[in-house]
Amino acid sequence: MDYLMLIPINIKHRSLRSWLTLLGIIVGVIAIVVMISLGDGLKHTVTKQLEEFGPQNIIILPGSLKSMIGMGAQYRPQQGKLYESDVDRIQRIPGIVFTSRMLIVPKCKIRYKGEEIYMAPAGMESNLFTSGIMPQYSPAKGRIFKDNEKNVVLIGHDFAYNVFDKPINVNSYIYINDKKYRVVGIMKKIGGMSGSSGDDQMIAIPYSTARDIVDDLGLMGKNEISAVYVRVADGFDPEDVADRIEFELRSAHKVKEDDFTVMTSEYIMEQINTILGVITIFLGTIAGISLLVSAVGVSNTMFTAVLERTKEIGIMKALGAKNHQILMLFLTESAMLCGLGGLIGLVLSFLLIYGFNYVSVMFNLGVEAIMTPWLAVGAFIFSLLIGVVAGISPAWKASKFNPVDALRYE
Amino acid sequence: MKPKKTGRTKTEEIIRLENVYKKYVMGEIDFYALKKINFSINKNDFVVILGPSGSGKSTLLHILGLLDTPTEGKVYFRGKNTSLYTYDQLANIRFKDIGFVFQSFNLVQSLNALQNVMLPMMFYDVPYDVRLRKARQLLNRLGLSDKLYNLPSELSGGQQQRVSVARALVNDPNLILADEPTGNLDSKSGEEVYDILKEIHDNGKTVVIITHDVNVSKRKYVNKVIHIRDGMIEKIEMKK
Ligand SMILES: Nc1ncnc2c1ncn2[C@@H]1O[C@H](COP(=O)(O)OP(=O)(O)O)[C@@H](O)[C@H]1O
Ligand SMILES: [Mg+2]
Repeated sequence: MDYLMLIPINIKHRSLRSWLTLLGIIVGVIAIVVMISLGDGLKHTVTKQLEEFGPQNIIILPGSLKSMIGMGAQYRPQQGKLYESDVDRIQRIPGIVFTSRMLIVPKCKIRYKGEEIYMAPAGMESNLFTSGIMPQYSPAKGRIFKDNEKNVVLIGHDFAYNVFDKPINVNSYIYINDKKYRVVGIMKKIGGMSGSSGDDQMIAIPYSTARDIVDDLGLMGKNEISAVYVRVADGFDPEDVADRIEFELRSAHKVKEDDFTVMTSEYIMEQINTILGVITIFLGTIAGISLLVSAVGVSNTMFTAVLERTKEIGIMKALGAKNHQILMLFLTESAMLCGLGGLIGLVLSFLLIYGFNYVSVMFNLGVEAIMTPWLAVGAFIFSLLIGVVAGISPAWKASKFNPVDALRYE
Repeated sequence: MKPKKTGRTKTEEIIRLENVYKKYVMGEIDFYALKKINFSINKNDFVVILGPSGSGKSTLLHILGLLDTPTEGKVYFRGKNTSLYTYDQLANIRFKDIGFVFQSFNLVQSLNALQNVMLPMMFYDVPYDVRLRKARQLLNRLGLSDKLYNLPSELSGGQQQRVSVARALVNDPNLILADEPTGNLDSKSGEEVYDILKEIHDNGKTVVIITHDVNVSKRKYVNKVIHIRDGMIEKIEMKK
């Protein structure tokens, strides 16, 4: 196999054109590697969050996400509403440990020591915290409020220490819409992959308090709520329970299209996979086209190289080179050329992914693209294979040259 | 097989052509580049194949070098009918036993002198240090010790031909085939090449030179002159 040492010399003498044909391989490899890295990262993030969310948990939201995530022209989120009466119905379904309502109060003025911001406090029921099913949601200082308490607030770690110039302590007072609330607890930092979770900025008030504010200001319909949290008992399949919930809500709402969304872990995973599927098809098409174009281009430049080196082939055969060695010489050159393109693509992919992750951390996107060694090895081998496929025909042609004709070639 | 040791030196046949024809089909017409060629070359012969341009000399040399096959007739190499060999076996014989020198040198332009001389051995996995030693030795012997790393384009015609002679000799073949080796050289460089070929012959090798120059056939070390015209042998002149 020593004759393969000729290949680096031949590659060094390749024309600019043959290098340009590698662009397709570079682009193709970048498309594939970035796509899979992003997909893996997204799946990793979602899986981790779903683990925190817990498989026995269900969240019901108003409006239909299905039509929003679906592809193409139907981009049209179905408007919808949820009511306290819905929750009463749901509670009768067997296999439910408890439900917990949430009511977001839109756009409140929040003031602390002269500083004013606008945020949407969440009206919550204490069972979500006290049931112990989400251990990461527990107070670092103070306590959880009671459902019938008035003028109390529970805040996230970042809300306490990062939102206002002056830190907020337990028993500090903050003003929501100019009403005075006492901070009864500050939650533990939840964090996340990118260092912070949205829930670290939460400001929660008892559900009854939120209900009063919303009803007083007429911000939403009577009895209307923002979300329902459902805990499914161990031993019950959350998918079955979700089906029952959907059935109940459909018969209560009496609408043709669902105007609510019942989210289970499985449902969320499905949605993510749908999104990833769309991205995969899109980038996969780009990758496929550019790799195909490139393979044709490489094949072309290999034919040119074979023709240019006709005399050389004749010389090598006269000196004793065998046909299969000439074949290997050109096939390997094609593979190495494409492999080089693959390597360049991998380096650029790595830089792109590194840059993306840097930006992701900076802007708190919560997703990190993951480029596994296997992906890199796979992409490299794939580009080698493209070179082999592109090189087969020209290399075959070279190996079949009649040495006498090749020697006479000028 | 080792040759039997006998008291007398027996002439050992290297190659023999029997009724060889080479036909090229050009459209409607069949063109015979070689017709009814019969002769043999023995060990340590110094053969000159003499004939005008277009008479079929190169075609004949390619057949002698097992690069080409006759349309009709038989070629025996060391007593064996070469039509029974596979492509790879023929390549193997070319590598081990035959050295080519061409009029236009036929060096690989992207390789330097040393690499050109090492080239044949690369296809047969001769270890790198052996390749390097052999190629260096030969190039030194041919007076190119200061040109080892020069590309062909950086060498004069005479130097290029000496590199190609070194490449032909590097495997110590028994048969050296030279197709007008001095055709592209000035007379001084040409003379140097002949000196080298004579030295090879003195060392017991078999040399075949193609030329259209009658004077070459008059050199005293030439023992067989094959006159060829229009693809046919006019006469075979035996000397000594
Ligand atoms: N591949 C070929 N096809 C057709 N004719 C050829 C081919 N190769 C050689 N010839 C012809 O055969 C004749 C002998 O050629 P060649 O052996 O090169 O002669 P020389 O070496 O004596 O000049 C020439 O007329 C040449 O044109
Ligand atoms: Mg000729």
